Amino acid sequence: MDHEILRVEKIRKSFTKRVLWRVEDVKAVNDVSFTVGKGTVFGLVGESGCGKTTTARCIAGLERPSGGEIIFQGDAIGHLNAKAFRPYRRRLQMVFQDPLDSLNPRYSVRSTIQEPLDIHMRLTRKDREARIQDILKLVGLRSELLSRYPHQLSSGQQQRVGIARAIICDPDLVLLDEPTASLDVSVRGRILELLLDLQERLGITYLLISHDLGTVHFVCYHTAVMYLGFIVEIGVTRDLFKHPQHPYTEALIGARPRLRGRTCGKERRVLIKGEIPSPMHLPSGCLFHPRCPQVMPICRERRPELVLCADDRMVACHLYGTPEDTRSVAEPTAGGEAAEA
Amino acid sequence: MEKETTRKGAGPLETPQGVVLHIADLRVVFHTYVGTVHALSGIDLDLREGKITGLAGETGCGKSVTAKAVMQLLPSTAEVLSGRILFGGEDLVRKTPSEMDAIRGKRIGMIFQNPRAALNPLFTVEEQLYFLLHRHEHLGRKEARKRSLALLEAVRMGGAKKRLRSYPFELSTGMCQRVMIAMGLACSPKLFIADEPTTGLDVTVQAQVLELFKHLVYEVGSTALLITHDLGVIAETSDYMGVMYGGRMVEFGTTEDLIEHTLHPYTQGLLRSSFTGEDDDELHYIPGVVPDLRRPPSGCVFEARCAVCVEECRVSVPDMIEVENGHRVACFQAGAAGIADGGKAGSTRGER
Repeated sequence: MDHEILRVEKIRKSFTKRVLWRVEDVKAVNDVSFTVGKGTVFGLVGESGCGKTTTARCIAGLERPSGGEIIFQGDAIGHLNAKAFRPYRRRLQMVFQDPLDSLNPRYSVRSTIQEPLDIHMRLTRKDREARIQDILKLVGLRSELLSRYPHQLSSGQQQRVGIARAIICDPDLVLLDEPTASLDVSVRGRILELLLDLQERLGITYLLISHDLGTVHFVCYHTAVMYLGFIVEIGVTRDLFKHPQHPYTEALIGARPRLRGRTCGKERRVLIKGEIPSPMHLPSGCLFHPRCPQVMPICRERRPELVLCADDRMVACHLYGTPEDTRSVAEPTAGGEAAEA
Repeated sequence: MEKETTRKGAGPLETPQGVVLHIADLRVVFHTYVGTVHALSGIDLDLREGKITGLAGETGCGKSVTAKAVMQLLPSTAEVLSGRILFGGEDLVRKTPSEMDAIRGKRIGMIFQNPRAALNPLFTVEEQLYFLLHRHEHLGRKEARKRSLALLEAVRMGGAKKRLRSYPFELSTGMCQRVMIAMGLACSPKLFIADEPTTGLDVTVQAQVLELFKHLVYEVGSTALLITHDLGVIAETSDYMGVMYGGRMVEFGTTEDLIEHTLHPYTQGLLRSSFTGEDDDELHYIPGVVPDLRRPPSGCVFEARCAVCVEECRVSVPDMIEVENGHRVACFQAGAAGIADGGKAGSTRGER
């Protein structure tokens, strides 16, 4: 694919946890593969602890995957050391979940957004100043805020600073880790609008990580649903929401609180039982089988693989094909379409 | 269920018929070193018996302050300027701390936003439930254990027996919240306040907790106040809802009325900006920022961000007026709001 910007190939990440003398393996990410097309927004959803943030941190070079490869613009970047990774950092940036926690409290806004410039682009003082002013205008911050410190800003402004820091070096791919999770609804709308506007103007590709299905539905063209470190379903967001195939996706989408519809009777909501099992002791067979409403005997024994079940849709569930089926040809194509609604 | 009558006090202390908690003209200020913050400027709220009332609004609009004022848990910087909180024929504002101790946990249960932080990390679930049951119900160890077990089963906690001996850190957040709900309902309180009970929980767990909450509140015959910024949660759970903004109640009515026939421009803005992925959403948000409550505006609090404000809004504060059967709104432009807004909200009003 000539349009792809990022390809993740079967990455795994496990952490070792010591409990007294026992050493246990926590498998955070297991064989996750997907492709992100240039100029699109790719969503990664799932409940907390499903490995979405770890996946992003692996891509951003903040964690080194235990296995698999990450191809970014044709280069394998999965196993580079910090120094070799440096040239890619300019092109691959991340916006973090909690805007206040991710900003250095002792750096003023100016120092925060200037730092990447000093590291990656050696500009003259004049150019640098011009660049900072441009970026501020882009993210909608007034220039008198430059001398402020993070705690003096509102949460919306803090997140704008986080975004400014990420985009100031003209990245090609920005990883958004729950960019709106801690914001009020009205602020959330504005930050999303800003992100989409920036994407249009600068041609950035986003990988959006969120547990907020509303945001994902609104912003992403393709979405992958993760559960316990595995991708269970991947497809075009709108189809995925309308016709979820995997029982987990269905439950996740059904569990969203809705504004209207309570009056329409009890049809909604396949309430799934229980909580996510511990990633230290993964269930046998299909990971979702202890909570699945449609569990079959085979689910307890064999782990289903991701198979192509419809156009542009892959599902890992025994309801849609057995492991004997040939593993589908390729990852779904995240084509060049823009993602705006 | 109906053990406690609301008729202990007489005359002015009596709450209206069918109302468990009656808040009238509650004003609370915080004295901070950057000035006096007018957190609540005259809140009126009635909680109907056996119903769940939701309170919505953005951060800093005074939802939690209202709940804390009811529980008399306001920090020392707060001052209640005026107002009455009538509960069971008594005015909670005038209660002494020790009198409040007898009410909190017994007649008013409360659960907090972060369940892990609200539980004591040094004690097991059983001990924490025992403290509560011993203090308010005078139960001994044995009976307390029996009751605790029943409570944990009521909140559908798997392996209740084992969980009694667990410390909070051994439980997941969803389980901690279940323990909190169990503690809140342990003494079958007349009033149950839940402050952001599902914020920070995953959607599947949130759905379970809400279902449980609803079920238990109705079963115990309690009355609940549910505070959340998530309108979806309120729409799913509550019978009545109030929308707060800048320390004032701007709209109140049945949940259905508020969502289907929204009158206040702020409520409309909130509803439109909380897209839930139900249909082809459009991106909406409310322009501007929340007012600085150190210097509350002289007119309507929402005036600066309102699309339909008129001269009158700048000058005087709109009162809550009843538009129809229990649906009250504080807006001079209540009728016109929908027209300027266009879209769905406008068309529903056209039909009415």
